[in-house]
Order: sequence, then structure tokens, then C-alpha cells
Amino acid sequence: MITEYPSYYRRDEKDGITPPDLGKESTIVEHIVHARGKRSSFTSVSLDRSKITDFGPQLYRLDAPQLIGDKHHLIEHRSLLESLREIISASTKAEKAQALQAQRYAVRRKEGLIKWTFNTGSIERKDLIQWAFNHVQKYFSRS
Amino acid sequence: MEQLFSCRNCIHNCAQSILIGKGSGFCLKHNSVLSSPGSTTCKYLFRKDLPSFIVDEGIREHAAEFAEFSNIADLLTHKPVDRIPYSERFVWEQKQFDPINQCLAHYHKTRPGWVFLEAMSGGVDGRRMLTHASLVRGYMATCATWRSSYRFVLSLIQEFFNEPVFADTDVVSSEGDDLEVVKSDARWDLFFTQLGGLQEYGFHSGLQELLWATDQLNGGLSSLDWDGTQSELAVKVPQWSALIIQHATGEGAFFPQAEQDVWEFVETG
Repeated sequence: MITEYPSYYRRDEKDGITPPDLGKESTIVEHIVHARGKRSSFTSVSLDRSKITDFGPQLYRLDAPQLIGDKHHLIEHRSLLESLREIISASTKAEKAQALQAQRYAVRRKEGLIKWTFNTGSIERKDLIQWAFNHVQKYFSRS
Repeated sequence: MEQLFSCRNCIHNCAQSILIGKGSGFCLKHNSVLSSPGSTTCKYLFRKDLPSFIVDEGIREHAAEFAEFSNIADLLTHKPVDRIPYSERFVWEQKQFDPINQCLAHYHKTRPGWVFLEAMSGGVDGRRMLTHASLVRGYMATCATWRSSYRFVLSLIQEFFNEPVFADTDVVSSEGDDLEVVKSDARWDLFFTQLGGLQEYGFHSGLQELLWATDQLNGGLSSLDWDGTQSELAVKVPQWSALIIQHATGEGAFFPQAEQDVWEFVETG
């Protein structure tokens, strides 16, 4: 069965997609509000290219079928919002405070997330960012 | 580029947020006009959207990234950005006069600084309310104690009851945006800036109920229901106010007699 995915976009630098930091464990909430820094193990994408104009000069389009075919996870916008609502109702303290803002930002950007499942066991920590850069580009094309 | 790390989301640029305040901003830290506040930053970034103690790891990483710059820098290119001193003549000549930026440019001429802060309180202009909340948070962060800030935080949380007003020209919108939706979301930019101030006060004072104030606004806030949140605040704000007063009183810091004597002396001349 062929699953059709809506088009997801990302704005980023002209020389390519900013690589995820596959060595940094973050929750989806921490990723969306950048509580632990600009990079995490997730990559953000958007259903609406007009909502991410400030994210970089170059627009890219995600190749969702290839991403899914390679066993990475696309957390679609609607699923992401459901997850955030669940986190808000179930969490307390810092996670709840972050999730409240994450919900706003995800709605505003029509955001979806990519959860990468690369096997990086043999990659040294210092090489991980460059390795990720080389491996994520093929899932995006200039739009 | 990520605007959450830009001058728009920094308390030192008091009168703007991601959705509030078009055009140039003004940075109190660098005493500079910010001509492109959405694409500049610096190592002193102090986020408006969340209390500082829950984004401190990201902030430290950002500070390290921009450590080599003594002033403002471009968020995307990492190039230095020249400081622009405020000129009243220039803004009139360029038809860019903004009364709040004008006030902020005079902040460092006001002594004591908290008089300026109090003068910004009590309005319903959304930009002015944002400025007040940012100033309170900046003052508290600079002092790094609850003792000098309890009066300002008490005042700040009373403003939860003021319905903010935004003119069409006050909000940042993109082509195709429904202006009323943007204005409605801008209210939340303001609300979270104010709430972050209360939570930071909870951090400094060690009052858990304030530190995690977001846990106590479960109904309306969870679904970003403005009216529902207002109903909950009608119950919570008096409780929070009483807690702040009770705590400060217990610590002997709530308008101590010596301070009162000074005021009476000043007033009677």
C-alpha cells in the first residue's frame, strides 16, 4: 500500500540542511522551544512554507516517502499537536511550562518533526555533526 | 535562523516580541537602536518567552556561540552589527518616531531606575505592558534577589487583569495572516512574558507555588483559552499576591519601617 504524505518544507542555509545533533538527547518539547540549544536530535519541518520565512534563505522540500522508506520517523503535524496536548495534561514543572509554549509555536509554524533513526554507534562524537550533515541532505530538495 | 534567539525575544529589547512591535527596537543592554531585531542577537540574550531557569542550557550554548562579539551580531551570518545610538532628531527626520522607544532611550538617564519601571505600569497598551514586564524581569535579573523586586512583581501580576490592546500597526504579521488572529496570539506573547516574571520571582524567593505557576493554570492555559485563563487568574492572582506579601513580611522585607521613615522624611521635606 502506498501512503501519501502532505508536502513538508524547511527553510535553512543555502549550503544545505542544518544537521541534527544526534548525540544530544532531547524531548520533542525541548526541541521545539530550544530549551537545550538550537540543535537537537530532531529536525523541524512545516506544512506551510509561508510560516517559516524567518528560518533561512533557502526553501527545501522533504522527500517523505524516502525518509519513511529508510525507517526514519515523520511525526506529522496533527500527531505532534496531539502529543503536545498529552504532555501538557500529564506533565508538571519545567516540562509543562515548555510544552505550553511548544504548542503555540508548533501551531504557528504548522510544524512536523523528523526523528532520525541512524545507527551512529561507530561514529565518534566529534565527527557526529558532519556525519549527520552528509546523511540528511538526500531527504531534502531545493524548492 | 531562529527568532527565539533574536533580539525580538530578549527582555533587553523591552517593547518587542516575536509578534509584537514592528520596525526598530531599542536595546537597553547595548544602548542601541535595533534596526533588524528579528535577525540580530548577542551573548547577553535573556529570553522573554520562558522563565530563564528552564532554558538556561540553551542560553549558555548561545552565549558561547556569540562570546567573541563585544556588541550585537547577526544571528545568521555571525557578523558584528554596529551599535546605533538613539537620535531623536534622526527618528523625526526619518518619520520613525516611536514613543516607547523614545522613553527607553532615556532609561539610563533616569535615577533611580525603578521610577522609570513604575512609570510604565498600569496601562492597557499591549506594547507598553510588554515593556513593563520586560523591565521588571530585567531589574530582577540584575539585582538577582527577590528583596528588591517584590513590589514590582506584585504590580506586574495585577496587570494580568488588564485586557491588552494592540493596534494593527503593533503586531508583526505575514502576508495572508488574519490580523485578528495575530493580535490574539500576541496577547499570549505578552502573557508568557508576564508569567515568566512571576516564575523567576518564584525562583529567587524559593516559592514553589510561583516557580511553577504554570501548573496551577491547568484548564484555560492548556488549551490557550484566554477567557478561561482569565477566570483562573481571578482566583490565583489574589492568592499569589497574598503569598508574596506573607513571604516578604515573614522575611522582614515588606516595606520595613526604616524605609517608610525615609519616604516620610522626603515627603514632608
